[in-house]
Amino acid sequence: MAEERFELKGLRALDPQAIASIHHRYFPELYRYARFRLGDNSSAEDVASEAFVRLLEAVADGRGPESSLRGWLIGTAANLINMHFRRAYRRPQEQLSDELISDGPDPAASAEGIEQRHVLRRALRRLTPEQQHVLALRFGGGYSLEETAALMHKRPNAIKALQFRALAALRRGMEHTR
Amino acid sequence: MTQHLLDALQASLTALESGAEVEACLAKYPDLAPQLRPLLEAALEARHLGSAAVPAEAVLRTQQAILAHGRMLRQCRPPVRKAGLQPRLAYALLALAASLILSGGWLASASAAALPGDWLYPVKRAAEDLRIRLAVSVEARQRLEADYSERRASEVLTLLQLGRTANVSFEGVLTEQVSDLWTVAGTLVRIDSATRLAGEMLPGMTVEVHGQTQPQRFVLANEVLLLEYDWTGIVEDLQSTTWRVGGLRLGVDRGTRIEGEAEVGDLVRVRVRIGSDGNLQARAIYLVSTPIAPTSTPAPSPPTPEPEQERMEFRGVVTSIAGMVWTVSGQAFLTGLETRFEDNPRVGDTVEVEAVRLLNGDLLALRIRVTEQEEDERTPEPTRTPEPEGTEEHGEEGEKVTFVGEVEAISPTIWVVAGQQLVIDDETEIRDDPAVGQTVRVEAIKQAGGVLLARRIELEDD
Repeated sequence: MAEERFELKGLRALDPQAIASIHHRYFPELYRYARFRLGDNSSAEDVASEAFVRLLEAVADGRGPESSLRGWLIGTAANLINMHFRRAYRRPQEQLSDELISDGPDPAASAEGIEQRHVLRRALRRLTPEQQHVLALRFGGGYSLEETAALMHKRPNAIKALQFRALAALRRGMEHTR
Repeated sequence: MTQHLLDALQASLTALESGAEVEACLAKYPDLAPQLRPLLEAALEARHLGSAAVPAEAVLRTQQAILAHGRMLRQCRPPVRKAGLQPRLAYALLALAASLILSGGWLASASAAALPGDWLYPVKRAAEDLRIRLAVSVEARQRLEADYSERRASEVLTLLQLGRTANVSFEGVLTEQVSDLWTVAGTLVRIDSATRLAGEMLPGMTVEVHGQTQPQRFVLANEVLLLEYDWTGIVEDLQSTTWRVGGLRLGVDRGTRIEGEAEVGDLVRVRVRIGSDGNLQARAIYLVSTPIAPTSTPAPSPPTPEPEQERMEFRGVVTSIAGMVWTVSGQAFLTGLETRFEDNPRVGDTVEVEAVRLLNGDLLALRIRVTEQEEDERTPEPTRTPEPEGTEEHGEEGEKVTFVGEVEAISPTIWVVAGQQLVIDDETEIRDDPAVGQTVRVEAIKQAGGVLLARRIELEDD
């Protein structure tokens, strides 16, 4: 917490060292979270980068996070991704995600792996935003149960129930898609 | 869905993260196995989706963009001044004194736009030094020093845009190190064999550069000094004017920002500035944590990984060094203050890396050591990359070079193609949006000092 307060102080002054430090610390988490939900490298980079740009603009404008920098960044990334999906829903276009393009040298294994991930990706899209969010935090961002609870402003037990429902829905979705 | 089932799922997920097999997890809950199995299988699939590595070039690309955006916002932001009467009065008196001493306002205003090399430039610097010496409070002095420091970096950029050669000194954050081309405060700085490097410098630290601006839009550095870095350690001694933190004796004065009530034994993070006399001054001290049970544990060196983290060892060839990211046989490692480099490892060397995995999955190198190379893996002279194979023509602005190669790295100002660093400027024409790994045709101009200034980069047809 003290570390985060230190970063927030530097951030409010738009101190380059603080900005570099915050980027170094949080960019990989944001990228992985976004990539889990979007399945695409360049979109994940765009979302993670845009979250940082919004953070800088918020603090320059006297707004921004008061306590949890990570929570603010993840929340902003989640909103950006939801907007991305809403836009995609209005203007649907099928895109090949990066993970569906190649999968190693063995063509048979590659085709099987691609098909498996395609099924998984489609099942994931069918989950509610909250279910996608919890899975992306747990398995994309790699956050613990307690960290996920803090980021979602819920109790750990509520996260246990939510991840249970999300995994069950994901499993059902995969069977349905197959 | 019972609490027992929820707890069993959570415990099984934790076990899976630690490398346990699904069957081993189910064996612990035989009564729940039929319900748990599909959930754990789905979790394994989901984990696979989240296992992708973060591309080092994405980290560097966005870091550059974010720092540039922060710089722009900072320049747009009105300066924050305290509303008290005393500082304003002090500034008014200072301005008046400066104007009088400089024999009239016209001289001061005329010198304001002077650049290094102009005859009025010494007047401008003398006026600035005067204002700093006359600053009443430590805060005012530090604010002036920061303002003038930014002015120095801005002057260098102006000189480079004008293509003028002049001796310059400036300081700023080191944001990128691509072999012998560094980026400091947005300026490209070339390091050569004659450059004196004082201190171990890594991206994120503040450095001071002394050198000459070159018409090719970079600064040729004579000397680069480490100025500021962050240090985390245990407070070992605490006096009114000096603290001892993690083995460092640090000066503390009214200008030191102290956050938290730190005491001996506490863990603190310090922004350390190296003075011209070599003494260390604490610019800011932040309390990180207090010990649960104070012990005589030796001070950890800067950000030490958690003790329970398992250390891993890798062996391979250094294939690239991009700022803080080292690639060793295809595996990316972050480096930082906590990384110990032994025997000056460089691209092409076979090294052993001792690393820990951070919570976000990155590997942080704690030690990179050059190892004895087997006869068959000895690499050719690694210090300089070979000249590109291609055609050369001699034009008025320098040798024109054309070659074809694979894009190895992309950053806003530097590309690496076939092992060659290319400087990118506003006039570089980039066609077809090439990406790392693709083969491109490069047209460049070889400038003084061997710098390749890219004029056109386009995808090479098969």
